[in-house]
Amino acid sequence: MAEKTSDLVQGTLDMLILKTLALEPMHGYGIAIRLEQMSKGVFRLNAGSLFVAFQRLQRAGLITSEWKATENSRRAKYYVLTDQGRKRLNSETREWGRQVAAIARILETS
Amino acid sequence: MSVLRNISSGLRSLFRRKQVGRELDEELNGFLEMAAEEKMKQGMSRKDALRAVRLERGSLEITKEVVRSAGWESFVETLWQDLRYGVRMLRTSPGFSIVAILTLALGIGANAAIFSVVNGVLLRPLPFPRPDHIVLIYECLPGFGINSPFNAPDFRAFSERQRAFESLAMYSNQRYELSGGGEPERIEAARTSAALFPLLGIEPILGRTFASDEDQPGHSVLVLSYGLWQRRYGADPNILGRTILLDRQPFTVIGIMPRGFQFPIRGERWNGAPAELWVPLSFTSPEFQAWGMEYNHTLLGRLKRGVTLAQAQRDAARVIAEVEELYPAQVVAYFRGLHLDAKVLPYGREIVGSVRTSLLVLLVAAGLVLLIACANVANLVLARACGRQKEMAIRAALGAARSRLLQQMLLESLLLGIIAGTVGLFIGHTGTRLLISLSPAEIPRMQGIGMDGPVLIFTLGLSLLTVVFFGLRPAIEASRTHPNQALKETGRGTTQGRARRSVQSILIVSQTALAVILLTGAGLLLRSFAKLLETDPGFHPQRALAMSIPVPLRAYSHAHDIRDFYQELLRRTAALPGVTSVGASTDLPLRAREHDGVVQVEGRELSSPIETAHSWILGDYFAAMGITLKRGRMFRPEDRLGAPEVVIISETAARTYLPGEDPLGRRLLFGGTWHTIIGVASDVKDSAIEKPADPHNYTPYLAMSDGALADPTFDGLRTLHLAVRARSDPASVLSEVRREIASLDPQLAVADAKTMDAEIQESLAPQRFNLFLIGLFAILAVFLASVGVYGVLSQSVAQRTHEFGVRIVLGARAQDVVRITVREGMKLAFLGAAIGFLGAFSLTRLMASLLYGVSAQDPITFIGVVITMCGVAFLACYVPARRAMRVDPMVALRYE
Repeated sequence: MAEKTSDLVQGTLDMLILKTLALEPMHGYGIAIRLEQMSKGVFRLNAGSLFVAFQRLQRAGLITSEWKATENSRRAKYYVLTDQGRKRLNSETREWGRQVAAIARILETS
Repeated sequence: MSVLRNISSGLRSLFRRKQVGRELDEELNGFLEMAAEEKMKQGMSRKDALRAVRLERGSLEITKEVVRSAGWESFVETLWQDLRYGVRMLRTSPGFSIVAILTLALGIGANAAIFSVVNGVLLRPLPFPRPDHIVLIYECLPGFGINSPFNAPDFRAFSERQRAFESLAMYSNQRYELSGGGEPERIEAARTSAALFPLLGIEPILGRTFASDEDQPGHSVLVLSYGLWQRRYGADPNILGRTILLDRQPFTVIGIMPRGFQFPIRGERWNGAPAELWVPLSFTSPEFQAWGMEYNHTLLGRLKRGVTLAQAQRDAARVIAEVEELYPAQVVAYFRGLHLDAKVLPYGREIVGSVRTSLLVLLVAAGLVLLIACANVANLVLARACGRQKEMAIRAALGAARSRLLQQMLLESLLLGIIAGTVGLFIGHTGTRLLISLSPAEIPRMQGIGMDGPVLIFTLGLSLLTVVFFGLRPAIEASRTHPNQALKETGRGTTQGRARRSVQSILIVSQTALAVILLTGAGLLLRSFAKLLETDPGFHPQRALAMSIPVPLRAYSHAHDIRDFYQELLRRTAALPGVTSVGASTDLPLRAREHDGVVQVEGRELSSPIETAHSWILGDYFAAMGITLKRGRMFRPEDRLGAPEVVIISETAARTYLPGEDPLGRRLLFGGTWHTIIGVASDVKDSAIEKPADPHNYTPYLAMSDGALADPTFDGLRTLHLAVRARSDPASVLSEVRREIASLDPQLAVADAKTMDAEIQESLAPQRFNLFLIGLFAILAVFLASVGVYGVLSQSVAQRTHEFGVRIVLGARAQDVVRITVREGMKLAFLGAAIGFLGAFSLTRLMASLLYGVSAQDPITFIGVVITMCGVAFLACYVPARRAMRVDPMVALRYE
């Protein structure tokens, strides 16, 4: 391994993917790069978990996909956030905030 | 919504695999290419970049596999693969497959067949609306231990006062001479209240049933059963309104009941013969005054909605106490006080009461056979699984998860179970038809039994259950494979794995135990049956012949006509060259119907009347039937109406009436008159061979009063049963007797002509049926169990060939090798037999009511069974052991 990467907290990958797609539709590699950049290299994702997550989100109706040309004129599958996905992202972000705050409080008091 | 999307997307991956795969391929390739391009921008060569990406992100193939297996459809896909693989595996070893499938199918089929009968007889609701509201109401008379039907005055008083029943109907069986339009024949009919058909809730398919006033005297109408309408009248649609002769009286046909309608349903004790036609049951006013007599009619009731059985029981008890108050004082005095009671019983329950135990025992027996079959197949599956250990090990080594191996093995077993279940369904179908054709007439509701919905569900459930029984353990065993160990072990001639051996041992022990239980059940029934055959029925059936000859009152309206007819018939029959003696009686052994109560014995105080069988006899009845007169004298022609009343009593009667005293010359009060005892006859089995003989009174037929003989309401006394003892072959005498009857009255219909040997055979039909089936199951069980022992020991010998070779080289003699092998098997067999012995000890009491003359814990049977089972097991061990003995050490050691 080139560098040490952290495992994602269980269940957070979906939320992060939704967050990434909230800005604009993106293809798989774009999402991976964006996540790495935003996390400053803490999360490096392998293709397997990423694509399983795409399949899962698509089947849940949170994202859809379409084939489009990239800026390098390559054909790639772009993922698009649906309305349902946007709602889910909002609610999960709120929930995440609540949990992080709660955990922080516990860690501070002990 | 998302579930739907999930399913449709999964289905798309399943059925458009290629396209979905291509898309994923393209997308993943793009992903990896883009990652590689990034690296190449940093100056890597393309080759290095691709390698780095593979390391960082995972290879294309693995990613594809991961993505594909994340959806639910991948489970379906592997299932499908495993299934196809399973079918292939079954086809590659047809011997194993056929034996396993047949063994299971036999067990499943036997259970399906027995269950279809149990379902049809015990579980299926009666074919009437709200069947659980239909009840039987019996009277309990003082001194008579049994529930009795009603008589007319009690019925009238009861129905006027009761509050629990929506409606009540009485009925009783009656046989008629049916003539006009074809040969005269005796048919079984029923006289019923007009309320019966509305109570049952069944409409006729043609015409109508009885109007509510048609059960008043003077209405000669009848309703035909579908069967009789088809059989005798060619389903003539214009039959309504036509006149039919019953006992030579005209009746008008008013309706046809639907196909399959049966009433009375067989099984009710008093009036349980399905009728071919129904006539109204009407009472004349003298009959309504027959207090304390003629308890002949079964009372059926339908509970009011919301009334429970217990409430109805309380109401009936209250009403019958009021009815008791109405009994005239002289009747109460005659019975030396009276205490009536009533019993309300569910009709559906009551009619199956007698066969319930035997059917449930059969079901248990069939279940045990299936368990043994499962054990056998489990052994086969286990042996095969161990043969495939290498395959499993390789698959495990290549990364197959244990759950996946387990799934594979279980699926193969499931496949076996389902195929066996399907074959079993066919066996069950055939078996059901066989059962129906073999079943004794006593089993009620046998018509319409078949492989219906509940039976199919039962069979399917059973097949799945067998999979758990035979497939689960071997699958767990096989999936436990350690690749390393397994690959090592299978190469050399090591002894078999300890775990597998212990499973096989458990299987052998349980098989032997189950077989011992079944064999014990069969043994007890066999001993009972032998005892039954040994039992003296009280008459000599050989060369004896009987038939019932009822004379219709219409043609023989005076008592002397009736007497003359029978006396002339006896005279002519006695003159036939093939006949040694001839007589007649109102009842025959094994099916006595007439009962009486002896209410007083001279010189002894009775607390309550004594119930007795009562026959009126004519001619040389005792000699013809082979009943011996032990003491006193026979009736003489002078013992007739007007002469002093005399009676011959049976030995049991003598013991009951006057224990330890000489009965001759003493007097008995029954039937309203005092009778002097003039003789004592040997006991005769009145109802069944397995039941003790009742006290029995015989009185001369010629002493019967004119009124009783020509009683228009009761024809039992106008139906004499002719008893003929033939010189040689009774069958040839029968046709001669028939000719004599026809020459006396060509219209007369003779019924129930049969030899007394046949009568005994018929009376033992239920026992023979039980013995046959349980015996069959037991033989099957022992066979399967011994095949099981044999199979396991053969495998063990084959695997220990090397060991035996070494032993022989080191100086072991042939018999030592045999002893080792036999001891291995017999240890398990003994243990199984011991467990089976204990199991049988606690289980056989359930069948105590089916046994006769042996206790449910009969030591001879128990010991005999254990010895038999161990003997069979020894043979099953000895044959493979002989093979071990013949091991050639050189071959065995070189064989490596």
